[in-house]
Amino acid sequence: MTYTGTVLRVNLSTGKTAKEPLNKEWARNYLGGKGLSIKYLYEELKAGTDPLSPENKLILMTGPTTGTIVPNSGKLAIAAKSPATGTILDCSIGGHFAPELKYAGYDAVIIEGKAKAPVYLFIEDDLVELRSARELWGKGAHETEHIIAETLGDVITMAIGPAGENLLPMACISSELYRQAGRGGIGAVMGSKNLKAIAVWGSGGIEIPNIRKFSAAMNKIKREDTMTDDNMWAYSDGTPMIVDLSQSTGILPTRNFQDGAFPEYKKINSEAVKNTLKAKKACFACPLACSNYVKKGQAEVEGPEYETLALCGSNCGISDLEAIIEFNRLCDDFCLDTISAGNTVGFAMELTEKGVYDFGISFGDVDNFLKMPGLIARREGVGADLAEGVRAMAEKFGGKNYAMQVKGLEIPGYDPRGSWSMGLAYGTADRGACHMRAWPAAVEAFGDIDPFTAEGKAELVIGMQDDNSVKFSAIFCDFWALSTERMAEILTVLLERKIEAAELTTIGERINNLARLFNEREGFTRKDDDLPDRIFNEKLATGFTAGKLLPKDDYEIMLGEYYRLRGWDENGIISDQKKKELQL
Amino acid sequence: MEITLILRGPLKRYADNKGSVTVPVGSEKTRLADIVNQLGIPASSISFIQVNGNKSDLEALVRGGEEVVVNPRVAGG
Repeated sequence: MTYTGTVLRVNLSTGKTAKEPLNKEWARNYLGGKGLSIKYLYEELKAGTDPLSPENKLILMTGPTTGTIVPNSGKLAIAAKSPATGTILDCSIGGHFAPELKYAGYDAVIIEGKAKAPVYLFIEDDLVELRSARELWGKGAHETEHIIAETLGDVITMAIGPAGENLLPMACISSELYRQAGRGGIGAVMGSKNLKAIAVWGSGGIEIPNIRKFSAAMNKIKREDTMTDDNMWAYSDGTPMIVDLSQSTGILPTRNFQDGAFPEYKKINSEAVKNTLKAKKACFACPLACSNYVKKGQAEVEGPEYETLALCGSNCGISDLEAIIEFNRLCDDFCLDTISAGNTVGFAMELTEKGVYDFGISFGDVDNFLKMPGLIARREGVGADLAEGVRAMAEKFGGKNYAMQVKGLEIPGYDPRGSWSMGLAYGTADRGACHMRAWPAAVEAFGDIDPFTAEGKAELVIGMQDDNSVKFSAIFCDFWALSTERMAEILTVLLERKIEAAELTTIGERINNLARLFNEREGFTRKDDDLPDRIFNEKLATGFTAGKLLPKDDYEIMLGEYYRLRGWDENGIISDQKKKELQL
Repeated sequence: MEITLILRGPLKRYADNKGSVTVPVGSEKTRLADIVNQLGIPASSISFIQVNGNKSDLEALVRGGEEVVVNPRVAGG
């Protein structure tokens, strides 16, 4: 089996580190990655834990595919209780950290407590050290990585910037300069522990039975199943492809979700990004190389991803691609989630233009736009108000109807008024408004399923949530659209026992129900599975979705059907029967 | 008469990697499905079609002068 069988537990309060056996029973039922990290958190955290207290735990979790040449296996799950929402939170970060951690001998790292002064964690096989980060505190993630590389040499590093140090609910974790664990304030959890960075180097490997047969099989699968039209959009364009898809179906967030079409979209679409392309970049074991390294004028970044082009571009009325690239780079260095940052700046722009509160910034205002990441990350000037995100801003200043968030997490780049299934996806996602738990827009707004009906959407969203949960637990990257049959085929080799697709679907269902149980224990109910009033009551103005909205009645129909199919009651509470069935 | 056919993403390879090609259509209206078949693009590789900026489908008829965009399937966001 491709687990190391070892978990590293780090107590920052005492400074002690220890190895312990991986819980094999839990690994069997939850696989790894998302599922297994949620299981550990569910068992080890008490209800009501303050996410920014030493009692919260930060878990880095690999999966059975990690460190092998299984295509698209390079990601790492990072989980904790979310400072932004108070829900369970799992993020996914790419690059090379996950395999290196496994080569060092660990399936997972569990980080507890709080250091008395800033530290960074260094793992080199059996050597585990907490080193002083006093000189690094206050620095951006990029400079931090450079200094650690100068000190330690050839290590893979993840770090936080000022946003995490200042405990922002939109603080992210950065790795290899441009990979992020983005959402829900995961960076603030590290900051609250006085943990500036984690660096890893491993000299081990992973034993695969009959490696030649395995390699041949993986190469065949890579050619025939990964590098196909369905997935090669990631290589040919990367996520900027989606700008044109959203624009032409009228779901591109524009000026704080006031509209679904942006007149200047051609300045920020895939063709525009390609004109700035310097190199493609890939994560470990990935042939799709979705990342674009770009440079325009003085600005350069690995990106911008679709979410950044949407939330920091059209959503802020910004069509200047060089400015978006620079905004992206600043967010990456300060470690701000670009979805939440762009959404928050857009909200501030609308509040200013409506005369609700003057944040000194309006839609399309490039100069002030570029000042925002620094001000927000440091909680300076107007940044002090923006730093807490749109829900808190609405409570303080007003505009609640158009504070675009669910459970406190800002909405990503797809307007639910043009894609009703995305509304249900946002409302029912475990960590707040998220497009990664389920992305039904792919087959609905961007496919041939009618976007403007409640019918069939619950089943669609549930299927995708369960598939994605097991996918992010085995660990496969989102961008390989592989079937559960293919996952089962690969896991049968890695886990050295027969795995059927049906077992994986059950595991996915189990993971989603456990996440829901965590949230239930924290007091979340149906009333929290809600969308902002703008979605229900304000019609989109122009483009393909002119005149459209998502009526509240239709949303409630989808939500009710979702609960029914999930085996939950009308308040969204899991039934005892379902818990028994899934062994929760 | 001709239409302008724009192939996005990996679908460009079905037209010699040109992002945009002109395709002659006969004097009768032509079904988009027929144009796409002629180029060898499998329907399963297509997410949706746009005609003059609006979402359409493979059964749509074109007579010439339209801009038709063929979008690839995309997983993940």
